[in-house]
Amino acid sequence: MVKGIILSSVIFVATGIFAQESYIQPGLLKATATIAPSTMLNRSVQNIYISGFLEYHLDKKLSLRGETFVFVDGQSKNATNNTFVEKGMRTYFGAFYHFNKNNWDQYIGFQPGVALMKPLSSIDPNAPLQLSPSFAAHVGSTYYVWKYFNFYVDLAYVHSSYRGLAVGTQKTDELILSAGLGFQIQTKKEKMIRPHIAPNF
Amino acid sequence: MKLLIVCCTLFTTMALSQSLTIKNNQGGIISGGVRTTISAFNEGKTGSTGFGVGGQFRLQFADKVNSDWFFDYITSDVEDFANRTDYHIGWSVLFYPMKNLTPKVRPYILAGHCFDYSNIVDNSNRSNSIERWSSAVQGGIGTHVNLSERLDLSFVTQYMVHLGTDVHAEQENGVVVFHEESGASLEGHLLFHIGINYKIADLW
Repeated sequence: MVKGIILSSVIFVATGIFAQESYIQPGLLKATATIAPSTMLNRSVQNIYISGFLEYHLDKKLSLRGETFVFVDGQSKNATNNTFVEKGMRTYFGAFYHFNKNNWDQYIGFQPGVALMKPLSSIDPNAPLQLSPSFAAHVGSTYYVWKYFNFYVDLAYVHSSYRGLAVGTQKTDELILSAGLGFQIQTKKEKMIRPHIAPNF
Repeated sequence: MKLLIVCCTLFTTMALSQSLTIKNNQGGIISGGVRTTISAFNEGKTGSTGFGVGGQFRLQFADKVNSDWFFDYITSDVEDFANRTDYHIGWSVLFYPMKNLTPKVRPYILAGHCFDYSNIVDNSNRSNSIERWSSAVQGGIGTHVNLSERLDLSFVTQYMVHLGTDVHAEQENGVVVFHEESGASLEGHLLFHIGINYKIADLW
């Protein structure tokens, strides 16, 4: 009796796993919005961004992604350091390479972009909002739980500088962590991969 | 309006993942992309490494000849007393020497022209600045790494020689002074680019 229940359970779970649809297909369009904390690499400061991206899969391995980070606030990690950013926004566009297995996807990506930033008036009262070249290098992981939802975690290294201050150029490199719920739709009508498990009659 | 935006987005995304249909030969392929630039050194002793962002579109003329139309926005430091911004807009002709027309890695040599605008600003006094419009020629080597039929990564090294007046900043007795000297010099930028490029369509 017990053996029968265990065997039935194993078969049920196994068929459940193998019957799962593969959601990573060419034409997959993903979007997300989340709160993303960051740490500045050249000063002891943590920033908070609201971030969002739109990503499109050209095929299972390659995708294009546009992304924006909007600065909300910052705080220094210790009393001897001051925050740096008063206003800030980062925007990037680039390509990602995916190492996916079933519905679990690991990826790396590179995105050229720009950083729009204004330092605090305590650093320079006349510092303007400045557009500076930037790039982002990503590593991350996504698990597609259903045809419309995914869970993801993403770590981005962003490089940029604020030039023209009396104290000299200030590097504004950051590590930005974003994670949470993502949304996706399939824009191409393509057969989902569903292994045939039922016997033929 | 919202429906129109959604329809446009879906149409565009569906078009992006279609396979590229080559009509006759590779001539007529148009593509677009973005790139990151490192300017290894700038004019004068005080110039330092610059960093930039830009974009390009390519129109291929023949199987072995392509053209690259680009815009770059590059910022750099002049020691710690000034900063420099360069805008480049220009074109290059790319020649692919390999016989194989669809390799995974496709090296090329390039040469072309560029118009550029440079602006150097005193860090301690933003009203103290100098600007220059000039033209330039550039040549170099590069390679495409074809990630798929439509998408490639491109790595380029090129040297850009400016033709026009030379502007540079110096600090004299604690004061930032700008110099403008006429005459062409062989000083310029050594530029490195990493670009991502997507083939949109074959026009003819």
